[in-house]
Amino acid sequence: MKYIVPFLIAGFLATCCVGKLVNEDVTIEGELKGPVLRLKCMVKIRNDGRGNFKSFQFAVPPSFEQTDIRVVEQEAPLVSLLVEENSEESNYTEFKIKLNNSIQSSKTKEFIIYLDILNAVTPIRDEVRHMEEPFYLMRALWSFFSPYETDMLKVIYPLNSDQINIQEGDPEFAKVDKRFIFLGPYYKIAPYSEKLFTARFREKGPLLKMSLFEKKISISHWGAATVVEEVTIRNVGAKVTEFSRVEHFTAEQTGGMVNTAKSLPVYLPKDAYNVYYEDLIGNITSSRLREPTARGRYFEPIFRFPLLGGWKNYYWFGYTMPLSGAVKSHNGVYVVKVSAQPTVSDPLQVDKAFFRVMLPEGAYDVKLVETEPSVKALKVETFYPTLSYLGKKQFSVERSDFVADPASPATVYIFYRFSSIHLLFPIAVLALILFGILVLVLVVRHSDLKIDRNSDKEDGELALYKEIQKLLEVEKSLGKLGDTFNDNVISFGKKDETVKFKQDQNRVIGSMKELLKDLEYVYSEIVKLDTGEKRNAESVSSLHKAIIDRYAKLGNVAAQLVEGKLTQREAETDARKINDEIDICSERILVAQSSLTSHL
Amino acid sequence: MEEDFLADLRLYKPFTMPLHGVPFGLLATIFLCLGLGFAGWFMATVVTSNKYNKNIPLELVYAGISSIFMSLGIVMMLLANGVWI
Repeated sequence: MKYIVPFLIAGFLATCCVGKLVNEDVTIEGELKGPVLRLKCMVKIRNDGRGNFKSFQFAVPPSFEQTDIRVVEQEAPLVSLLVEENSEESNYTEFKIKLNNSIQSSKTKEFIIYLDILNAVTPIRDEVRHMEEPFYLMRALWSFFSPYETDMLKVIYPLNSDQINIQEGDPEFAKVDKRFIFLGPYYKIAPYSEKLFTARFREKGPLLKMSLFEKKISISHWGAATVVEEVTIRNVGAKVTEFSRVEHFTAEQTGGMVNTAKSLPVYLPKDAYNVYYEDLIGNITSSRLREPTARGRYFEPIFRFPLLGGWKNYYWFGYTMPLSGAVKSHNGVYVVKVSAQPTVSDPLQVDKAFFRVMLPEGAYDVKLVETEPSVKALKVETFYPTLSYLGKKQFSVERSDFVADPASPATVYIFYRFSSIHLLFPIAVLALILFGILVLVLVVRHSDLKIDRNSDKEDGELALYKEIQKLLEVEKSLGKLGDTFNDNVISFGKKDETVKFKQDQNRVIGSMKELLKDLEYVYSEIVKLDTGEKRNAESVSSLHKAIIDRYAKLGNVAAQLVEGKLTQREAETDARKINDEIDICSERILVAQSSLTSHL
Repeated sequence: MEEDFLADLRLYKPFTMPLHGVPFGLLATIFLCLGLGFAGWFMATVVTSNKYNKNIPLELVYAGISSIFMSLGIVMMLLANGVWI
């Protein structure tokens, strides 16, 4: 007996200190987005105990396929609270939400729980005739599945339909008013209360779902990031049979399309450019692209055939972004922020999505940080795209069964380090390859691959080559003297310069004769090395002598003209004739020497 | 560790390359012209030389300069046409 009272007191104190949470007031607002039921649960939680609560719990019934939940405080709607999944031993999904400020004793706090229920809407019949408005079933709760007791609950489901009927579940206090289902208010709901109902409604719009999505981002530190998004979109509404083209085009003109989707508009980043789209079989034949606005850059790929119930479409689109829009840096560390959402303009259910980021070649110290528990990292792969020699690493994450919402904060951060010297690597390797090709040309050109080698013959060829070089020097000098002679003739015009002119001409002719001797000597050496050139040597020598004689005659003609012994016309005729003879001799010299110059 | 990364995110600023705003097309034209010019010079030197008057170091210099300019030109050309290597 003496132990019972203290035990009771201790138990009473323990109960009071541990505390008890109660859902004082809960309002659930639902919204249909395709097959997804989006719930916004406004919960006012009261602490009936003496202790403070630094967290509270929430659960989702097992009959629902739910996605990640997001919880915010009513006073701070922009700050998401930390949610941990903790449902190892139960058949329902339980979440623990950690609070920034605890719920104190006898106090209340208001929270908003955002929850998406996947595949909550299904067509009643699998097939409908074309242009028939299909009926759908929505499965939802008219209770609050929570670990705590709920004092009051109200539920509102707006449906975009004018024909709504409650099919199963028979909820109490249910009222269908125009396009809304009002349920409640309900009082004193027990914990883990799972009361389901289904509502039947007619829906004109399509039931769109993205069955597969893949987003690839490639970062280039040369100044841009390229993005490619592959989309597989399905209309999971009732399958259309007995298609009529006439009815279809009539409805298109009058705006009476049923169960179809004509396009899937998206908002690209504001600084996106070089936008393109592609698909395998021509399902996308038109598009709209608008100038950037505050929301982003509107892009709408328009389907060639509207997506009827049961149809699917596969296409991809891409764009380029300046590097500043994709990468941030601080203290030598770079970060790429990837939204773990497909680029959609309205919420859309996604079955499976992959997000891949290819970092520049040479990136190291890479760390992947996911902000959403449903995002799972996959194996790192290495690819070798254009001019990549070391390989570029691609980091991938996967996310399944979620709702793509532009407002969702689900993000993946990739931190890495990168040295700019790696940008020069492709240039260096390319330069080495080109250099190697040119060196190969050099080697092939200069290599002597003859099997039979005669060193005496090679010495003879070298000597002949040197003599030919000397011959060319002599010819060059003779040519210069000829030019000097012609310049003197042209500049000679006064009678009192006749003596000086004749002296200059004699000097030039003398120099030419000296050079002719050199020429004959060189030719004699050449003949010793190549006896076949003997005849050419004689003819070249005689031709040069003839040229020197003609130069002398030209000088006499000029002197006679100035002295008045010849008229202008006679002098011009004689000069032309002499110059023609000089040209003929020069050409014959070139022909005679062609066999020698071919050795060069 | 995750909190450390996320807490520092505000310190990160948008990253722009030092080569931001560079006209890759113009640079590609200039580098390719220079590269092809030197390559032509190299070819002319190789073709007109023989075993008596060849100058291999000079030809290697032409080849080296030409390959550097050509590789720069090719890379700039790829960047100008949207192939971000």
